[in-house]
Amino acid sequence: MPATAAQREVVRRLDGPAPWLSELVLTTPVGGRGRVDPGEGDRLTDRDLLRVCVAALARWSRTSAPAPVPATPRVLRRPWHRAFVVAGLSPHAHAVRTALAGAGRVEGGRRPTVLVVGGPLDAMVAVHWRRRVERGAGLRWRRLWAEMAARGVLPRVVDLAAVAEEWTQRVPSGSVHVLFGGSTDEVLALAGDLVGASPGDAEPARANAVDTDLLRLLNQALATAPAASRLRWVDGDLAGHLHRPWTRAPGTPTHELEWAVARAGTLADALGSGPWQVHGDVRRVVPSTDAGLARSVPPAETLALALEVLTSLEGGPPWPTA
Amino acid sequence: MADRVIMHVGAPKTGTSFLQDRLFHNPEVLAAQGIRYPVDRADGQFLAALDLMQLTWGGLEKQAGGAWDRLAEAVRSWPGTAIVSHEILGYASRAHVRRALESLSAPGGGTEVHVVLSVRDLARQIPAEWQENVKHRRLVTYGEFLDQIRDPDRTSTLASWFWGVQEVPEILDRWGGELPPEQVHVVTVPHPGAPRDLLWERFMGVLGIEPTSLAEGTDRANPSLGVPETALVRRLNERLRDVVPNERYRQFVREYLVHQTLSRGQTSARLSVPPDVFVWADELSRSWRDHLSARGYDVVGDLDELVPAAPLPWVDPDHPDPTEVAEVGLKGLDAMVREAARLRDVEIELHEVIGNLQEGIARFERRPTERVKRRLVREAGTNPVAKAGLGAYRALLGKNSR
Repeated sequence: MPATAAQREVVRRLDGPAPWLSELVLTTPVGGRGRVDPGEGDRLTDRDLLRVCVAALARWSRTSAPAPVPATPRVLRRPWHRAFVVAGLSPHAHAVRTALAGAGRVEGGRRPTVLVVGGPLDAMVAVHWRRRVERGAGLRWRRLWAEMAARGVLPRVVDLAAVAEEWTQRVPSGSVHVLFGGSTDEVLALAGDLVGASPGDAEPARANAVDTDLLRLLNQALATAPAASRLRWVDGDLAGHLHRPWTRAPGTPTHELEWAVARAGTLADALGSGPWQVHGDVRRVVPSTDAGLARSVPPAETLALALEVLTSLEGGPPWPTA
Repeated sequence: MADRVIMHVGAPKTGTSFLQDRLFHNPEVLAAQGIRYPVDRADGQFLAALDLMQLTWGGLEKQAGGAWDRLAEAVRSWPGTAIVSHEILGYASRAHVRRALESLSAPGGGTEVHVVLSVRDLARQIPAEWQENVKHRRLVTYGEFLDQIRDPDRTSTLASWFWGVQEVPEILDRWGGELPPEQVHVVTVPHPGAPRDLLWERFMGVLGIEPTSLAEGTDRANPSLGVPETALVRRLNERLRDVVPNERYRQFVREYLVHQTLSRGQTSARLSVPPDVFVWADELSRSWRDHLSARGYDVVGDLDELVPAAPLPWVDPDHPDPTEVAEVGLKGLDAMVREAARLRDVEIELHEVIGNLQEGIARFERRPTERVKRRLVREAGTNPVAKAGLGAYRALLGKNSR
C-alpha cells in the first residue's frame, strides 16, 4: 500500500527517524475528517500533516503494556491543622492547592475556611478547557467560547460568584474568602495567612494551549479506542509529553471577546458585593483585551509539537491494527 | 466463512436509507436466500464505519468502539453472502479500504468481494449534500457551500467530505482498484419520471435478492426538503448554535421537525443548482461517465443517468421568499407546540407516578420497625451498644447490608 504524500512529508520533517517510526507513520491509516489520501501535486496543509501525526500517535498509544504509574502516597489530615477548602478553577487555585499540599496541608475537614481563588476569565476558562479535554473532550478552544457565549452562562466552576454563594450556605459566616492576587506569590501568601500555613513555591495550573490542542485531537482519534489508551496521555506514562509548563494562555477569541468582557464585569460586581471577604481586586477577572494576544491555537504550533512527540517516542513494533 | 461479501459504499442520497431499513428488518427472509446483513441495531453498520475510519460524529462515535471488528467477525462467520452497507464508507482512504477488506475476508482467501456504489447525477447530489449539511446543524449558506466544493484545493472540511463521498471515479478506484472490474458494480439512480420501483429492482438485482421478498420495514427514508424548508432550518441552526446538545437536536430538529413535519406534504420549490453550476456539474458528470465506461465496471442501469437531466428552475435558498418561509415556520411551530403539549402531559403523568412512589416510601418509613432500624443505623456510628445491636441484627439476617 503506497503511502500518501502527507505521510511521506511527515517522515521528511521527522528528519531521519528510526526505521520503526517511519514505518509507523507510513502505514497508519489516517482517520478523521480531511482530504482522503492527498495526492501528488496537492498542496499539503498543516492540518493534513497533523492528521498523519495524530493517527500515528494514537496508534502507538494503543500498544499494550504501558509503563505503570506510581501511586500517589496518601497523606492524612492533622486534626490540629485549620480545615480548609480551595474552590474555583483558576491557575492560582492550582498553585494554592499544590503549595498547601507541599506544606503538608490536606484539604477538607469540618467548618473549613473556604478559599475561592480567582484569576482572569480567559485564564480560568483555559484551565476548564484543559480539564474537559483531559476527560476526553475533543473540543476546540474557539468552540468552547462559542458555546458559552451562545448560552450566556459560564461553566459552574468558573462562575466564582456562584461558587462562593454555594459555600456561604454551607459554612459559618465569615469563612468564605475570595482571593484575587496579582502574582502567584501574593496569592500564596494570602492563602497561607488565612489557613495558618507557610506554603512553599508552586506554579500556576498547567494548561499549555498547544499541548491541550494536541490532546483534544488525540481524543478524537482515540474516540473508539479503549479508554486506557487515551488516559495514557492524561495521567499515564505518556502524560509527560503533553504536560509542559504553561507558556501562555490563549486569549478569548475575538468573536466572543465583547461578551466575555461584559460577563466578567457582571461577575466582578457579584463577587464584590457578596457576603464574603474579598482580598485583592476582583476586576482582575476581566479577560485580556491585548490586541497582540494570540486568540487561537495555530495548527503549525500543534503540528510542531506532534512532530516533537513522535521524535521522542521510544520503542517499536508490534503495534495494533489501527 | 463468507463465500461472498458485498460492500455497498454509497453514495449518500441514493436510496441507501430505504435499502438498509429493508435489509435490517428482514433477516429471516435474507437468511432463507443465504444472505446475511450482519447488524444488531439499525445503525450498527454506521457505527462500524465510524470505527473503521475513526470519525467523530456529534458524540455517536462513543458508541462505536470495537464495532468494526464485531461486524467483521459476524461477516467471517457467515457461510454465504454477507452485505455491508453504509454510505459514509465511500469516504474511506485506501489504507482503510485495505484494512476493511482484509478483516472481512477469510484468512488465506476464498472470499469473493464485490463493491457496489449507487450513484446519482451531480445536479441532484450537490443540493442534496447541502441539505444534509443543514440537517446536521451546519450554518453554511448554499452560496458558501458551492464556493467551497468548487475550490480546486478542496482543503475545507466541507469540501473534503463532499468529494470524499461523491467523487464517483475516486471512490471506485479506492474500493475497487484491486478487484476485477466485473466485481465492481455501479448502480445508477434513474432520472425523475422513471418507474417508481426501478432503482429498487436494480439494487435487488445486484445484491441477488428476490425483489418482492423484503416486505417488512419502517419505510424509514431520508426525505428531502424544499427551498423554504431548508432555508428555515439553516436559520434555525443559527439560533440553536451551541445551545441545544447534539442528541436533542437530532431528536427534535432532525427527526421531529425535519423528517416528521417539514418533509411531509411539501409543495415548495425543490432545491437545484444555479445555471453556471449546472454547466460545470454537467461537464464533470460527462467526464465521469466516460471514465467509468472505459474502466469496464459492471453497470446496473445506464451511465447516461450520471449526466444531469434538464435543469430544475433555479430558486436561490439564500434569498427565499419570506412569505413561504413564514408559512413553513408556522407549520413547524404548529407541530412543535403539539409535541411540547404532548411531552408536558407525559411529564405530568410521570410526576403523578413519582408522587405515588414517594407516598409509598413515606408510609414504609413511618412503620415502627423501620423507624427503630433507622435509629439503630444512625446511632451505630457513635454508640457502641447500638453498633453491637446492629451487628447482631445483621448477623441474624445473614447479610451485611441494611
